[in-house]
Order: sequence, then structure tokens, then C-alpha cells
Amino acid sequence: MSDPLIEPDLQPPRLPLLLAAGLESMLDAIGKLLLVAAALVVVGEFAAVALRYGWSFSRPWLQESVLAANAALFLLGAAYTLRHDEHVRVDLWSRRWSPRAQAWAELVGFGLFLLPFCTLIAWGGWFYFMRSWGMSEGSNQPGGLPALYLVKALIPAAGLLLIAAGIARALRAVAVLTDKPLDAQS
Amino acid sequence: MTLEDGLALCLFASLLGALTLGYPVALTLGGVALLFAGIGTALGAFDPAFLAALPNRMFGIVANETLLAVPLFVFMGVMLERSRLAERLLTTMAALFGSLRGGLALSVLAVGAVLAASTGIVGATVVTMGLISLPTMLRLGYDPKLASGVIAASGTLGQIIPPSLALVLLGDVLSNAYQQAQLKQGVFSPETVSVGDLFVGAIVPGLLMVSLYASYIIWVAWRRPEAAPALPVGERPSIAPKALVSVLLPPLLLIVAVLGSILAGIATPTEAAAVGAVGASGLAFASGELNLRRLRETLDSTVKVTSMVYLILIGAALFSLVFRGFGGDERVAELLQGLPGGLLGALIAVNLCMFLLGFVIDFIEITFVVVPIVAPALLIMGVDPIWLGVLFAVNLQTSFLTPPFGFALFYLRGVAPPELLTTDLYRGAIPFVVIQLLVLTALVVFPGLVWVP
Repeated sequence: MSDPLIEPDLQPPRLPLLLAAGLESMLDAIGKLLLVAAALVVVGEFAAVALRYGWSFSRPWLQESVLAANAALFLLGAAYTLRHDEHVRVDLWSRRWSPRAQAWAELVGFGLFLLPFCTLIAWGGWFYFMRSWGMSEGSNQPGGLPALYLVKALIPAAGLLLIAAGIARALRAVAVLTDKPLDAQS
Repeated sequence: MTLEDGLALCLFASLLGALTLGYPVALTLGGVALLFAGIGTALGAFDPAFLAALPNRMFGIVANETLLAVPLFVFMGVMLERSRLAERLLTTMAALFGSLRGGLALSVLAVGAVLAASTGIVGATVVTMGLISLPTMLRLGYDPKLASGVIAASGTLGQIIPPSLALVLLGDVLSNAYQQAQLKQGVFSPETVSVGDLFVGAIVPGLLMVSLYASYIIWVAWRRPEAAPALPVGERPSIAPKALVSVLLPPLLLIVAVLGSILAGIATPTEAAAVGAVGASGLAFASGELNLRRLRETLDSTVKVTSMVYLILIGAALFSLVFRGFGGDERVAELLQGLPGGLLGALIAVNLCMFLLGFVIDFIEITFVVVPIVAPALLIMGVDPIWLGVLFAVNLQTSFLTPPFGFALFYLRGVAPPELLTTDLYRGAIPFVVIQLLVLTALVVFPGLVWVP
């Protein structure tokens, strides 16, 4: 466990990498919560099935809770997955490039694709959430979950977190380009 | 050609160009689409109001109960893989059939078919089997071409044999496309197709494929015994029938239960997937392979793979909004309807495009980006939606197996020992590609193969 950020030869502390590491540990903390969400999806849906077929018990709130857990899982998980670089890429060509060329590609991708796209998600999602919040929207089914706006709030959150994960990756790419040693990703 | 057409065309071309940058596909999809929306708005060829629909589309994805099967099937597949059930299945099968010529290859095929049914995650099956069985087959003196061909081909079965993740996603997209097609034709109480229908339809073609693969292996073992030797007498492990039952039966029961309840119409794929996920955990627990660390790893993979799939879906949603904003979908429909050869011509053109795209992008991207554009047009021309889904799945599976770009071959190359020549890998895949093409042709000539009661 050598953390280059606290090694003395890297003085003065490099703010960009410190910021990247901070963003990454925030995303990892969220990732830990999402493991719980994933467990809830599996257990919740299984319980819903067992109750439906075993005891003919079915309630909209149960199904909606599973959907809400799944929404948290993939909307917030998108940024956690980006932080661990596990989104699928077409690396047929780029994997043969030099680290510097890959770092440039990372910066171009961030500025051209991630930032505009995720700003749209965060910005559009914010108004979408505010409309729902303004009318204290609940489920449209009787016996469904109240506070549907909380689920809708996950949409702008997804955009913001993806931007945060993108910034962390871009900062690391800048570090590669400015010829500073890349510190451990994991 | 109007400005809108030009932009729609450029949008697609730029996407393919931008993907070579190696940035995550989902973000590239959304980013390129947004850039073109910007250019189109500036030129007055695009109404930015289309973009405002994105959050609502995203909420539609959140509320989709069919897609809820994704995390559940992913969890089930990862659990079966992590708890080494697959590995034990393969070694037991090899012990059972290893004394026969070609027996090892047949075991790989059988486990591939069963595993495929449980994971359906692109690459996972190829990697697992490549790691476990390729070294053994090579050591025994199997023809490297046959060994690698069997593994790559068996690995791709995950695309077509239900309950595969690929068919879940394809089924969801096709059911939307089918409704859209019927609304356009003025049918206001549209018929529906479900993921379950697609599962049923894929069974006969899937079994046909497995039996053709098996016939080829048996034929090679008969004509060229040196290419597929049996285990030497001294190496044949003896296994107690009881151990055999305890290893083979539980996973088979799990698959049968999951698949059976979907096919019998008792459960939706999502419900069956939940039972499968808990069942897989139960199996892992019963075989002493489940501990807290492994459970955590399984959940972590589930979060990552699920988020990966869904983010592509979100990127593709924006992409198709923009493509539609330029009127691209109508233009594609006109283009397909105007092709020589009518319906057959359109089908060949679409499938050829998908086959080529399969070299560059994965099943998920093609399902979410290309299928929503082309499927409504083909369905309006009178194609059966289930048949179309099976055709797409078999076609993409063929693409993943075709040298030199097939995905399955890449995955296998990644885990194969260096002494396996890449040319052998390519040449070994060819007989299986030929079988795939035979199945594709058979599907077109005898559409009844996609049998749905």
C-alpha cells in the first residue's frame, strides 16, 4: 500500500491528483452502498415472487421498491463503474496507442462526449425532478410508493456523479500528459 | 438529399469514427448525438425540444420491469461462475465422456450450451472454458484448430440459447418496435411480443445449432481420430455415480426451473431470473463455495455489469431521439422499402450491416442502437417479430465467431496459451461459421424453425 500522494518526494502536494483521489473515494463509498441496493434487488424481487405465487400476495409498493433499488443501482452505479473503468469501449485500435495518446483520447472524450451528455442529464433531470417535487408526486397506482420524486432525483444525481467520475479520470490523464507518475488506480 | 438526411447520415458515420477513440461506448453515443443536435439546431435542421424528452425516457427505463431481469440474470451468471460451478461441471463431464474419441470436445459443447443458458454474458463463457479446457485439450493432442473452434463456438451459444441476457434485451427492444410498427399501420390495439415468446422461438434454432456442432465434432473424431483423441487409459478418472449426480443435477435443475417456468408461461423472465439468482446462491452455498467475500464480489460485478448495460441504453436513447429528430428513422424505412428484392433484399441489407457492425460493437449496442431504427420498418413490411429476433441473434452470433474480428476469437486469444497459433484459431472457427451460415439460411428458407405454439 504505497500511496504516491503522501510520499515525500512528491512534495509539494499535487492538488489535481489529490482532487482525483478525493472524487474516487467518494465514488467508492457510494459503490459500497450500491452493493446493498443490488442485494435488495435480488432479495426483494425473490420475496415478491415468493409472496405472489406462494401466498397470492402482491402489492404495488413492493414491486416499486425493487424498481427503485434497481434505479439507484444503475443510475448511481454508472459513475462507480466509470471510476473503475468497466464501461465497454471499442479498444481495437486505441489499446496499441502510447499512454500519452490514450491520455489525450481520454481528455477529448471527456470534453466532447461525457461533459455535454452528462450536463444534459443533470440539467434536464433537475427540472424533471423539480416538477415532480413541486407536486409531491407519488406512485400513480393505488397502494404504490409515496415520494416518487426521490426516484426521479436519481436522474440528475446520475449526471452529476458521472461528471465527477469523468473529472477524476481527466485529472489523471492530465497527470500522464504533464509527465508525472500515475498513481495506483485501485 | 436534404440537410436533415445529410446530418442523419453524418451522425451515424461520426459515431463509428468516434468509437475508434476508445472512450466508453455509452458516453460516446450520447456525446456524438448531442454534438449533432447542436449543429442541427444551429443550422435550423433540428428542434431542440427533442432533447427535453431524455429525462422522461430515462424514467421509462427505470420503470421497465422486463429490464429488471438484467441485474438478476447477471447476478445468477456471476454467482455460478465465481462459485466454480461451471468449472466442476466441465471436469465432471470430461471425466464422463473423456474416454471417447472427441469426448472432451463434446463436453465443452454441452457445458457451453448449459452455461450459455445461465450467463449469456458475452465473453464470460469463452474465457471460462478457454482457461479450463483449452490447455487439457492441447496436452492430449487435440488438433489446436478443432479445440479452439469448439471453445469459441460453444461460447457464443450464450447469445441464442435462452434464458440469455442478449435475448432479454432484444425482446424488450423488439416489443417496442412491434407496437410502434402496428401503430403506424393504424392498428390501435396492437398485439404484443414478449421476451418469453422470443425464448420459445429460439429453442429449436438453438438445439439445431448444438446438434450440428456435435455432428461436426463426431464426424471429425470419426474421420481423423488423431485430431480428437480420447483420454489415455491411465488418465481416465473414475467418478462415483453419486458424485456425478451431485455435480450435474443441481445446475441442470436450476436451468430447467428457470427456463421451464418462463416457457410454461408461469413466470415472467424477471420473476424467473429472481428465482435463478437466489437458486444459484443456494447451489453455491450447498457446495461450500459461498462466503461473504465471494458474495460481495458477486454483488460488485452485478453493479458494474448492470450499470454498463443500462448506461448504453441511456446513451442509445439520446442517440435515437436525435436520429429521429433528423427524420433518420423515416429515411431508413424508405431506403429499406426501396431496395431491390423487396423484403428479402431489405433483410439481407440489414443483416449484412449488423454482421459487419458486430465486428466493432457488442450485442448490447447493436440491440439498442440499430434494432430500434431498422426493426419497425421491417415489421411494417410484414416480418414476424419473433422470427426477426432469432434471425438477428443468430446473425450476430455468427459475426462474433467470424475471423479475423469476431469477439469470441479475441476473448479466446486473450486466454489461450501462446503456442496456439492465431491462424489455427481463425481456421478452427471456419467450420463453425459455415454451420452458422447454414442455420441462417435454414431460418430464411424454413421460417417455421422458429417454432412458437
